[in-house]
Order: sequence, then C-alpha cells, then structure tokens
Amino acid sequence: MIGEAPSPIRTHEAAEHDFIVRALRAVGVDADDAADVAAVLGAADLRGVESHGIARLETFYVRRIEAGVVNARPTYATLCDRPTQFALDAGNGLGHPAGIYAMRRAIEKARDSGIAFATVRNSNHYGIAAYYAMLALDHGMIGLSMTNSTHLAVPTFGRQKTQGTNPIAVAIPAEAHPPYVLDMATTGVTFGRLEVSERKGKPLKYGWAVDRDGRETLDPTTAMTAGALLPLGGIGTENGGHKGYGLGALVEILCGVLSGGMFGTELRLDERGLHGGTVGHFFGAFRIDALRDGDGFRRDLARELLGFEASAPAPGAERVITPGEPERENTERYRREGVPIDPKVWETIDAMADRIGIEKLERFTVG
Amino acid sequence: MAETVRVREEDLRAFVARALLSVGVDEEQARIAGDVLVAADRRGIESHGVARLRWFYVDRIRNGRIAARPRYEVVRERQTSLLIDAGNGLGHPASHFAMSRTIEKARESGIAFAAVRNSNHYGIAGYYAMMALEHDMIGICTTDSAHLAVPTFGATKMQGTNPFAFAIPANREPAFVLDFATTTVTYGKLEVYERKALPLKPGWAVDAHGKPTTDPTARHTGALLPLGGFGTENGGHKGYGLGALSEILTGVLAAGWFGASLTIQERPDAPSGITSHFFGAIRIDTLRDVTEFKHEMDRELRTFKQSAPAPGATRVYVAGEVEHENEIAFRRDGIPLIAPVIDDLDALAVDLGIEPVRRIAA
Repeated sequence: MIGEAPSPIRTHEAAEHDFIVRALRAVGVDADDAADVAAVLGAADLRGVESHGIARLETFYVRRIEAGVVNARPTYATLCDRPTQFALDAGNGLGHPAGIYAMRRAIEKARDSGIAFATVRNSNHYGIAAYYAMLALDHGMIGLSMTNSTHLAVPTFGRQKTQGTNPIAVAIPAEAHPPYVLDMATTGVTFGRLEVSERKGKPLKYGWAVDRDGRETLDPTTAMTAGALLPLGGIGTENGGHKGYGLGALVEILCGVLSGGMFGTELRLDERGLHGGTVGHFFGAFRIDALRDGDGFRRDLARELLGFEASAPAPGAERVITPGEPERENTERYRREGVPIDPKVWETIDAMADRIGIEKLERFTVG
Repeated sequence: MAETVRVREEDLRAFVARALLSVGVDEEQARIAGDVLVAADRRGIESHGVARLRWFYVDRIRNGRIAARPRYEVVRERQTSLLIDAGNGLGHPASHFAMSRTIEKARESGIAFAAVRNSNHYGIAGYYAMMALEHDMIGICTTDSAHLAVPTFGATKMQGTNPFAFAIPANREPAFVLDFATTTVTYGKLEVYERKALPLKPGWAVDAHGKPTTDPTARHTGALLPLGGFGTENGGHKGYGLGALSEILTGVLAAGWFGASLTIQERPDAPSGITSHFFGAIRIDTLRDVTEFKHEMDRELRTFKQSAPAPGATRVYVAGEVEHENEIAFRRDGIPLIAPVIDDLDALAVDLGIEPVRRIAA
C-alpha cells in the first residue's frame, strides 16, 4: 500500500495471472475476458499500485459476479462506429475486457484516421487507468484513458458528494527513455490512502478530506464513514481546489454524459456495495506522425524528460522524477523479486480460493 | 491619476485594434487579438486582458521581437490534424486560425487536432476552447509558456503556468468551461500579494533553493509550485505531470521550443516565437443525439450546483459559471478597468498617437 514498505510475502507475475484467471473462470467468466482482467490487475500490483490489483479481486469482481450484479457473460452493443469515433455499451460486464476492447478499437481507428476516441457505458470498475493509455505505446501513439466512479468527493464549496476519484491517464512514447505515463486521481488522494492512514492510526493531512458537514477533518474514520474526499488542490479555491473539482467533473462528463451512461445522482452509491453497470470510460489514441515525424518526436520527448530528471533537487529531495517512473521501477523490481502482496490481502484471497474451490496462489517470502 | 472607469466592450476592442494597427498589424489580426483580450476582461480575468496590451504585445512588436505581419506556414496537414508555423506573429490570430481549421476538420471527421509553433502569448486558453461551443462541439486547448514553476522535488524552474482549457456545451445552463493554470496560482497572483505586502499561502511558491516560502517577494528569485503544492503529499506531482503534459503536447509535439530553452525571463526584449499551442475539437452529434446530450449536461451541471454548500460557502459553482456571470454583469454595466490599467492605456494612446479608450459617461 502507498506509504508502506512492500510486503515480504510474494508471488510470481505468471502465478498471479493464472490465479486471477482461475478465480474468474470459477464464477463463469470466459477465458479471454478473465485473461484481460488478470492482465490489468497484475499490472497494477507490478506497478506498486496495490490498491487497484488483486486486493480488489474478490470484493469488486468475484463477489459482484456471484451476486449477479455484474454480468459474467455480457453482450456488447456497438452504439457508434465511425472512422474516428466508437461507442460501446458493455452490457454490465467487467470493465477490463470492455476497456481493452474499446481502447483497441480506438487505436485501430487512429491508425487509419490519425486520431480516434471511444466511449464505454454500462460498464464496471476497470482497474488502473494507465493500463489502457499504455496500450497505445506499442503502436507509437499517444493514449488517453479516463473513468468515472462512485461518488466519493465533494465539489468546491459543497458538502454533498458529486464525483468519484475520476482518474485521468495519458501515455506518450519516448525513444531510449521510458515513456511519459501520467495516471492521476483528480482528488487530492484516493480512498485507499485514507484506509492506510486509518490502519496506521495516523491523522490525515489538510487538503485530503472533509466530514459530513463539509469541514476539513484529519480523522480517517470520520472521513471514510460519513465524510468525503476533497478534489486535488484541497478545500476552497485558495490552493486550486476548483481545478481538481473541474477536472473531476470533466471526467464525469466525458465518461458518464457523453457515453450516454450513468452520471450525477445515479452515482451516489456505496463504493463497496453491490451494484453494476454504473461506470463509463473514455479512451483516446492519436498518431504522432499526424503532426510530425515520430522518431524526431520520441527523441525530443526523451530530451524533455531527461531535462526534468537533470534539474537540481530541492532541499531534502534526492532527485526529480518524471511521471510513470516510480511505477516502471517497481515493475522491473517486482518482476525480478516477486510481486508483493499485503498479508491481509493474502488472507482474503486464500479464503476466497477455499470458498470457490480453486487452487491457492503460490507464495514465497523474501528478506 | 484616474479612478476605476467602465468601458463598453466594443470600445475596448476598438482601442486594442487601433493600437495594434498603429504598430503595423493587419486589420483582421488586430481585430482578433482585440476580441481575445477583451473576452478576458469581460470574463473577469483581468490579468490576461488589456492590462497586457502594451508590455506583452505592442512593445514587442515595436522592438521587432514579434512579427507584425507574420506568414503562416501549414507544415503538415492530414484529414484530422494540422501543424502550423505561426511565423512569430501574435498568438491570438494564429490560434484563432488553428482552432477554426480544427473545427472545420472535426466537422468532416468527427474529431481533429492541431499544434502551432513559433507563436507568442495567446491570452486566455478558454477563448479557443469556447470557439467549439457554437458548433456543438467539445473544445480543447493548451499552451506552454516561459518557465516559472519547479517540478516536484526540483529546485530549478522547468515549466510555465501551462493552462488547459476544455469547453463542453449545455442547453439552458451556461457551458462547462474549465480553464486552469497547472500551477497552484499564477504569477499575477504573486504580483498582487507583493503589492499588498501579504504573506503567500503555503503551497504557492518556493525560494531560490526550492524551499517552500510565504515571502511576498518570492517571484523575483523563487518559483511557482505546481497545482497540489510542494512534494507529493497533496498531489503536487499531479500538477507537475499536467504541466509537463502541456509542454509535451505543445512544444515537443509541434517541434517548437521546449525544455531548457523555455527557461527565460519574461521581458519585452526576451526571445519571441518560443510559444507553442495545442487545439482539439470533438463533434458530439456523430456520437449521439446532441440535443439529448445538452439536456443531460444541464442535469449534470445542476447536480453539482445542488450539492449543499459547505459551512461558510453560499453556493456551489460549475467551471466557467463565475466568468459567465461576470460577462452578463459587465455587458450590462461596462467592463471595469482599474486606475493603473486605464492610466497605462491612456499613456499608450499618447505614445501611439491614437484616440484613447472611450469611457462610459458617468
């Protein structure tokens, strides 16, 4: 989890993949769709974004399928299919296969048309936004991915929740340098960050959350039970809270309203409750050579990113990092040393394996 | 010294056009620049309006830094994309041209984008994004700028205030118009605090060593912080990432200036043609029924506004609403120009030998 040392109890990337596929197959998901989910959840754990990985397998996906609120075998409906635009109704299926399908269609269309975008409605949680944006990288394109979600955050000056953590991800390829990969919640912090503070018995920071009356609170339990997250920039407008709020609203409009899906008060749901088909996504892909020579661009981007990395560090800081770099370093390290999984998460996935009658995930301990 | 005066927008536009014509800008370009600058004042974004006319534009044309009669070159053009070299002219007409072409292309293709290089300050980003609205399209725009902000964990300036703007049409509600600097505050805000000798708020700026500071004079030797503030605790890395994204989509994608070459001081004699922009337009009606979409936008925007206000707040706004209300008030009552601004414009009129701004009779 964020701000904690990685768990010493590890598994291998391939083993985790197979385990996730086993679990989803056991509840009726077809093999290809299960592999898509495993790829996205596995990527989250490898990147060190543990809150969005296997930790959610049971509560967000397996349980919701078992309860019949998410469709294990959805029927997709194409709502719009034009040279630059694609719109999908995901049939209340899992968000990951729908997201991968829509992003691939956007990439194909962009190959022919220079730029394309895709919307998805009637979908579900799709894991990390970056995964989909990064699909564009193999094609030398810029990728964009966003999703709306259950409302967890207040708008600036408001005390009723109007938006989720609504992340935005952008991936841009460079040459001889890792790509630029921005993946950011439009809230100051994610709900997972509050959970970490609660677990460690630490107060929150100003700018993270409010209580039920819309007053800033430093108490994680108050914030999580009756309160709400604040937009990026914090309370009021003094530090730009209206900018984070505006970005969150933008994501909600593109994913919920433009897609023809759910938005507004329809998304005032319990994050951990049993509901399906409430989520929408927005994807984009564009060819760099629509504007300039792709090789020249990728070399210039490497120069740009190296420029940031070479800038003098502030007092107490070691180095300047470019977006996506810590996650890429985690990926390399965890591929080598095994994927860390939190002891509490191990308990839940072991119990789930017993419950649904599948082989447990293999583990080993480091250090 | 004059008091605050009120002027009609058409009179202010005419003045900007007179000023630019007198230094050699052609009529069409002068008119567009006037329209963009006055739109800023009319929306209450005084920092980006006529207050900058002399220093950012007229002086730079007079000293030959900005080309009064630029030649635009379409460097690359595809069905959905366009790269333009603005010939080191004013940023406003070049951007108006690029966004108009982007909208035309999106009408044919559903979506289109453009980048512009070798340009200059273009005023408020929101103006160009909003050009899409009357075509029932979504408009997108960003620009890079001379470096004023440090990256997260860094002590040297690596990016400008690099704003993004998004405009999305609604039916009865005013359009959603998000126009924001990717720094916590703009440079103009530091100027105001220095003038008033007020301490800055934490999260706004750092000193010359990259340490957080509340010193009102910080702008002289220090730098702005990205949206989210110092370090990563409040998401400073997100603002930094967005600022970097802007510079990548503009300077790098347009093969213009980027990186260390943008680390220059903003002065009338500073190099020009260093600025690049990015524009996008998305057609809505090819994706779904646009009337229905705009009705749903009304419903969505009202949901935000109906969130019960927090203690001490009176209402919840949506992006662009404050500016929209300023427009209504200033169109009715005239645009207010504070004493230093109207004095400066009057002095400029004398310098250029043109008629001064016409005031509304008290």
